[in-house]
Amino acid sequence: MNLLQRYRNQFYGFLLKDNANGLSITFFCKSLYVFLFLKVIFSWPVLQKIVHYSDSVFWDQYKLQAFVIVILISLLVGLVMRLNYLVSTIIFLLSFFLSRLSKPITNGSDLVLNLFLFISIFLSARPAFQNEIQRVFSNAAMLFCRVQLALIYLLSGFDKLSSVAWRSGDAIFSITNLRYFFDPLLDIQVSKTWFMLAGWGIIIFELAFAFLIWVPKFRVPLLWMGVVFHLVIIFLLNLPDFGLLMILTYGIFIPFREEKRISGKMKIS
Amino acid sequence: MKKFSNILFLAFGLHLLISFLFILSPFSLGKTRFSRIYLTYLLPGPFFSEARIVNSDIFSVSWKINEQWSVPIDPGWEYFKRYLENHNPTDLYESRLARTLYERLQMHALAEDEILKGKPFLALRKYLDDYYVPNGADSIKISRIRQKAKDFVISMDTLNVISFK
Repeated sequence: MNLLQRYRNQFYGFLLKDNANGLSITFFCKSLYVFLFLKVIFSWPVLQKIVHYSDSVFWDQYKLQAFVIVILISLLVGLVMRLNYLVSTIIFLLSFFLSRLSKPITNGSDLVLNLFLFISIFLSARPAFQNEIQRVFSNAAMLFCRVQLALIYLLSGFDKLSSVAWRSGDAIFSITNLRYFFDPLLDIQVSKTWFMLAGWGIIIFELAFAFLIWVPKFRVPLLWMGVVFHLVIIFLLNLPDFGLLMILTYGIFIPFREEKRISGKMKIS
Repeated sequence: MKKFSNILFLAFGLHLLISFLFILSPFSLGKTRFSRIYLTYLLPGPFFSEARIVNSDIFSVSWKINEQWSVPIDPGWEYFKRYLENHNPTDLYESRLARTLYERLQMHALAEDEILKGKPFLALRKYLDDYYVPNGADSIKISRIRQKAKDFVISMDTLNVISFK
């Protein structure tokens, strides 16, 4: 059997298997909703300023208040109700429009959030499957989420590997002097060797994550390393939204025990 | 079902192929709308790329009142410092908004008279009048200083200063 055939069979097996990731999907989607809810709450006063200083003919303060309230209600509905296509679609669309409106204060986390909210439309938690198509869609979306997360790390890792500044550690020096991100009271006085080691550590972690996350025995250590990595981003680089969101996306790789049991059963049968 | 699964398999394969192309060479498929959309919405990143971490543009504003210039202030920095004290994410958003209002002036690309005629300037002027510049100020001065952290050395350079009444 050639390699392509083997991958195709594995792919079919994944698509058709009974949804073993119900809890994982629910945790993943609802954690994104909680994240968006908090983001809306904290950015609300700033959104008012954005509208005030924009030259938009559409937005005014009344429309903004109504929009924000609709988002918050939709998110509460999404959190309370079982996952369903309609609410997921509404939440994705509202998040997308919110990103457009709040462009002056957005960063990479908004793009990642919208990407995963979009894919999550096609996820649905068991036992809601009405037919096989739904199951296939849900499993494909689950796989797509995982692939996207791995690709995000691969893109970042490869970009850093191609950069002389990252390989020499100069990029870490630049980051520790990045205004509006790094706490100026933290004075990091270490040798160039340490900067280089940190740079290579990040490159290796990001590239390893993209490939080794698919190997069950490396998954848990990689996720823990990722949590530590993003906590450093939250506290040292003062990017709580980006760091927290990346940690939340790890939800699509848990729980492992249940998956292992199911795949074991499949092998026996 | 098999046909549908086949289509999904092909779509995944195609997506992986395109993504690898973009990862290895971001402009391998040209600077088209397709590339832009793909790289923005499907393949966000890369984060902390070299081009984004070397330079920090520092914007500050000062005003003249009674023939004396005030101490320059940087609203984005003030909000950032406040965030470091109380860890309220709203302050981070405020900091980003203040920086964006300055960045939109495009001081690096436009001549002073073009800046002063543009809509971004009007928005910034309104913002500064609302929160910082006191009534009765004769002149206002905005400066852009670039802090560069490269080759393990930090350097500062004043790039633009614009004054207006």
